[in-house]
Amino acid sequence: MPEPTILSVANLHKSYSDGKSKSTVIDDLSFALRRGECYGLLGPNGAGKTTTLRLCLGLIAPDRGEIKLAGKSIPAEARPARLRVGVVPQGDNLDPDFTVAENLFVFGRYFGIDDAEIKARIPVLLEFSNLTAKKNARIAELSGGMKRRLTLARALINDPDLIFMDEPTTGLDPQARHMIWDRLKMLLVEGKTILLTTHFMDEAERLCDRLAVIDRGQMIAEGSPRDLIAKHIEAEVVEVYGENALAWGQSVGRKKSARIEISGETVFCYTNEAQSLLLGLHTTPSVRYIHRPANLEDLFLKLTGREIRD
Amino acid sequence: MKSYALPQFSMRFRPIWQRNFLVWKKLAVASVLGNIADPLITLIAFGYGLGSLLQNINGIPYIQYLASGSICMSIMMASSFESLYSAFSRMHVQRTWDALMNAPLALDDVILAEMLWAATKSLFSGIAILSVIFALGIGLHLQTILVVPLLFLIGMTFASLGLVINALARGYDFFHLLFHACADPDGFSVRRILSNHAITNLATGNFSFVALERGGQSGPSYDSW
Repeated sequence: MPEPTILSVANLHKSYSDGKSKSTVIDDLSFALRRGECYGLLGPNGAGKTTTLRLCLGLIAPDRGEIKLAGKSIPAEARPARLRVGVVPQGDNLDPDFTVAENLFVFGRYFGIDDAEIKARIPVLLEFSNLTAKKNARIAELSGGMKRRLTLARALINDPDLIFMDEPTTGLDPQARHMIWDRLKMLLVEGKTILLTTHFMDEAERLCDRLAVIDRGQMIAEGSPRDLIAKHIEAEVVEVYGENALAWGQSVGRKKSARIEISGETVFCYTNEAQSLLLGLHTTPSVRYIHRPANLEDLFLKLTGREIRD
Repeated sequence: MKSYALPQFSMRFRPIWQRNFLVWKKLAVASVLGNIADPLITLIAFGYGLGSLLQNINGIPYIQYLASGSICMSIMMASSFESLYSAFSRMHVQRTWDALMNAPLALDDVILAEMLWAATKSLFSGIAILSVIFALGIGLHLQTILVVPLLFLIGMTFASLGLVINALARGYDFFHLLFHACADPDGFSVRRILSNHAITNLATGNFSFVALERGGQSGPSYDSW
């Protein structure tokens, strides 16, 4: 019976020093992944998501803290632990010297898999990633979506228990993104565990059983998307924009909402009872509005703020 | 994870070496032709051209002197180029090393594979020139075949140096400086230095390219090898 926890991270610390100043990237981070779940790491740029993944893979060593991956201690036993792991990195690092099928073949060899076995797996993976017709194509001939799908197929060559996915749909069009989501759902049905980093909230909301919002290397919140929204923010949002929106927000919106946020020329009114706001807005000149249920993006913005991160 | 530790080598280098070999195989025809054409032109143009005016150097026929230097130069260039430009591309541009590190491989495996691959390229290049030399009838001595393992060893040496520099390099320009300032400006002087008896004897435990230069007749004996 395998352990119920496939990855556990406890009190992780990582900082970098350039001689003069020290910057803390990961600050006392703890979380654990149960087998078969999709766990999301959400955070703005520079929050420490990729660093966390690199620490979990044993590619960099933590200053303090404990990581257990597939029953092995990281970074000491990182190399054998990676036998059970697949990685979809943020940037493409497919081998441009090879065709689609050759990329899978060569990568399979890195895991010490027999050539015959790799050759048997390739058609299955090509089918899964919808790339059978492109098996002899060179990497330069592939679209962004195809490259991502091939990277996903490559991460599955060793039939991993856990898949690390670092922003798998960044830069993809909606069609390509939906196709990746479908494939990830198929993997979850097969019983794989996924650790996903993303800053697309709809992606996290669709795929993740549980997620952690991290910022400046610290965990701010953890739970299922629905529970987090229910716990941290009001149920409904009315977005008000237009010429008169800011003045309306200050005079009426602020009084009739639990809280408001102003971003540019849009007023976000958070409330558990939107009817009174909507009645008034009907008759207010020079404003337009959208009424919707609160989502993960509202939660994310509440927890991490609206200022731009570079 | 310690910052400093002795390397731990294993057979895990094999799939990485095989990867590089597979890439080479795709361009093998051009590569082999280049390996043969370069020494062929050098030996014919300089060896027979200039050689008709210059009979011998330190008692060695000029064509043999040039042939042994060609081998030295080409194995040095082959492994240096591979461990500098090509390895840098795989590390920084193509990010092949990143992909390797996501597999159950260690950096030691990657470095060992790169060293052995660069040495293999030296071997290919050296053997191509030896074939030309044999074909032209310049050094038809059976003992000359004994330099083959040495080609690999020298390839490893230059590959190691190349990879050290690679670790420090910030871009290709760094290698331009190195190649043009140190190796390339006077290829012939490099050949001369590398095929110098004293240095090669010292570096290779008394067995050297002298075997080729002197046709094994009056060079050092092979007993000490």
